Amino acid sequence: MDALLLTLKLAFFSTVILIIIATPLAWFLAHSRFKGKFLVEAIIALPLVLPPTVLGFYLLIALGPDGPGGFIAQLWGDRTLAFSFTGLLIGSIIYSLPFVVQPLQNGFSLIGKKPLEVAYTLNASFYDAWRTIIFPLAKPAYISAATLGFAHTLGEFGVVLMIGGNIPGETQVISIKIFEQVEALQYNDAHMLSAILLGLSFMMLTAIYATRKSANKTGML
Amino acid sequence: MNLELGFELKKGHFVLQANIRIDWQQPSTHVIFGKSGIGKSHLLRSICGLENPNGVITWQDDHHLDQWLESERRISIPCHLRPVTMVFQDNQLFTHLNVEQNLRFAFDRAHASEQDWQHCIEALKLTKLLDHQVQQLSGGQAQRVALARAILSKPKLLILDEPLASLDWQSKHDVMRYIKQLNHEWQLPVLYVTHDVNEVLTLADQVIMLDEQNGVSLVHSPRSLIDVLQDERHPFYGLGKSSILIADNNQQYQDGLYHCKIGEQIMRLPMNPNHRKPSQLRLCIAASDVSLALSAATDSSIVNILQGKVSRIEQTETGQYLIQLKIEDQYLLSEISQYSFERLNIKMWQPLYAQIKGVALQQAL
Repeated sequence: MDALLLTLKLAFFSTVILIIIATPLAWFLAHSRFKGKFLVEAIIALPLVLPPTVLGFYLLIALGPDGPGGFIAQLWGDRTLAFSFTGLLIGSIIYSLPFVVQPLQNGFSLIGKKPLEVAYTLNASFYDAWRTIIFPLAKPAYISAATLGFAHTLGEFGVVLMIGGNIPGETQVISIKIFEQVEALQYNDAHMLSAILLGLSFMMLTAIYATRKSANKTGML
Repeated sequence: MNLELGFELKKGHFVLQANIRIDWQQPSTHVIFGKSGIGKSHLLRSICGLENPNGVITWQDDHHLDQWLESERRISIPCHLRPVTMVFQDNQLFTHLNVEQNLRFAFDRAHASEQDWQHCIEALKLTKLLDHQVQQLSGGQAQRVALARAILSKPKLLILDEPLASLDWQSKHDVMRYIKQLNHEWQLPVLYVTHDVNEVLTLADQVIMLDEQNGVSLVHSPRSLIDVLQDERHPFYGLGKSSILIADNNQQYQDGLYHCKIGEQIMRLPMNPNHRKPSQLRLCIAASDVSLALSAATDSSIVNILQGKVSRIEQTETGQYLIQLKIEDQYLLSEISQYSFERLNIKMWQPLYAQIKGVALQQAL
């Protein structure tokens, strides 16, 4: 049960932080005419193609005592960010970033800059216009982004294995636990956890596709 | 009221220069006129505050002077604080809100009164549309809602960016009716942008020209616009492929038609007998509504036939021929096919008869 709760907690916090980071990033990618934009896009898309072990390896070094992660950890007296929940969170955010940025970027591209500008001319300030126009218009994109980010974090394995180790209650997420149970030939336990993960993932994907369809109907996407 | 522009906007290779003072004696309509792609949109966006050019923009009315932009002093009032509202070519209603919510969006942010609301809904005949989704509206209805939304945001200056361009003929007339009311009904000075000569002639109290050589600088009355459009040295010559004739109204009424005179030649025009009879009329005639003949046909349904001489021959990009006829001291354009051109064997200064199928617009002078 610990592993399930930890996984949900990790996925939840990753998703919240990802949405906050990805919103300005996706808006920039959707609307900026900056010439080096493709570089930013390529970097964000890297986790899509990179083997998780490679990403995990670099993260391990970065989070370790000699990397920037170790430096940050020293601020509160730790030696390293690796093998901790914070380290896992950082890893998940980088690993799932493209899954959150891309749906938002597509959504923002479809909406365009015009609604925001029209809102400005009707005396709405920046925050007002975002709250009342862009967020509601981009709701389907946000649902897609949040669900994909959440589901993808649930399923991550390689990166967690590299940087998280396997500390029960601290870094032992559900996918690692299943792996461990299979190794130990505890098939019954593995069956149960796998079924939970399968059900969760299926439910979330159903939610995405259902909102996409209704969004199409109202002409919002 | 006046708007003073003195700025330069750079967008990549494109540079727009504006040095002009636009005056409104009373709330009236000024039309900015120029070909597509010449920078009309950039000009408007700069006035609204959606672009950030380098220079000065000042708005002055009876009470005070507002500095909207002064680059040297690093003043640039953001768009949402400038008392300007713009209506776009493609209505740009918010698709996640219904008609009433779209209107409320502007109303709530403008400190307008409940009376303003009622007045606006009734004047633009929107009562029945309030609970509609914007996707259900026709082009004309949507543009009417956009117009109402702009009025409800209580701007000091209203900008209309080709508001009729994407509408069909019927909706154009419908929406035009409401645009004509803006000055009187709402006391709004209007800046109207178009590349359609007919719209200029219908709406303009003053015309502001935009062209490649001069940037934004010239202010004309619609009367002098006619001269400009007929001056072949001017970049706007032949724009919209229409010509304008000034006809003297000799007040003669016969067989349901009024008789007007172009020099010594007579044109018969349908006119409502109850309307004011001006002594001069401005007729806008599309080149495609004029056909040419070697003799004056008497066995045709066409009422108006004018005699003139070929004063200019020009082949258009589409292979058609644009023939300019000098009629008395005025000019008329006709667009004909290459086949007809060769069949009639048209040469310079050859006498020809122009058969006018229709007059797109008549306006009292």
